[in-house]
Amino acid sequence: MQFRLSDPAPLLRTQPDWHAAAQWLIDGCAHLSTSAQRVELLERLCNALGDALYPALLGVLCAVGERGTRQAQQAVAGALLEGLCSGRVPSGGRPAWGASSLRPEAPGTRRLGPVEYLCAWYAQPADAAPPSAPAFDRALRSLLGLVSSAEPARMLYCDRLRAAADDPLSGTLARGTRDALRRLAEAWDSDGTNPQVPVDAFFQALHGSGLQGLRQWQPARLR
Amino acid sequence: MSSLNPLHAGGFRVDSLSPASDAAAAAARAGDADAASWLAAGADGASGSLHVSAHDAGLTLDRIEREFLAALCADPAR
Repeated sequence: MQFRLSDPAPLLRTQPDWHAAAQWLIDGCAHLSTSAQRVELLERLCNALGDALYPALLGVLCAVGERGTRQAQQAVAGALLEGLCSGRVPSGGRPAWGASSLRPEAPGTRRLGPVEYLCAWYAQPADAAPPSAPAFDRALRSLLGLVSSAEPARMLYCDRLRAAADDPLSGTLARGTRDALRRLAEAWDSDGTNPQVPVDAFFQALHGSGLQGLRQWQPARLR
Repeated sequence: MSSLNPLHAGGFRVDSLSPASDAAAAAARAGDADAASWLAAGADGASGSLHVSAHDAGLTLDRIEREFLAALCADPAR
């Protein structure tokens, strides 16, 4: 079964089976025999879910980042690495900075990989209500931990984030978001062992304080 | 088969709504709020550790895609 553009958009279950979805993703990344198949798997899942359900794919990746064994994380991170190397990272559409629509066909829509999508969603919300600061903190730590399980993936992803931070012309990311992404990449590049460090660097660049500072000064954002 | 997410029960997707409809816009906002909750739902909804399963010779790209979508979506075949 392969997704076709003519297919109607899928509908999320009221109670999705996140564990099963994460398990299928892990096993696909671990057992499909070729790099091309693994990259295609990630692309197919992205296309089939569509932009509206892309955050659900992030939820599955976060599950692997939090609950996956080292071997399971490395299988998924390895597939992401293969996507990075071939320029086919599983991506979701985000409206350009200042645009107000998440319609995928809208001219202001750009496609972002998991980490930069999550950061843009939090830092510059458009139509979609952003995650709270603690939810963002947890999700970003999960994603960074997942990617860091494969050292080459971490290094390549840092390059990708720096490239996004240095690209003002795409119009996707506001200057503050790009600055924060650059700080995240620098901190993550320096140390891949503790995801909290780059997450705090992002918070610090964006808000002038880490999550603990936000707890003290911006309680409304933490709900 | 589990029931549909009520926010999607009309068969539309959030990003295709017409801004001309207040009701549709309200539904879109509610759906967007849901999306943020999916980030934690993935990890909270996974029970126990996630391991690499024993190799299954019958594992194909099509099957993995189908099973993955069946786990998350109400009707992946549509």
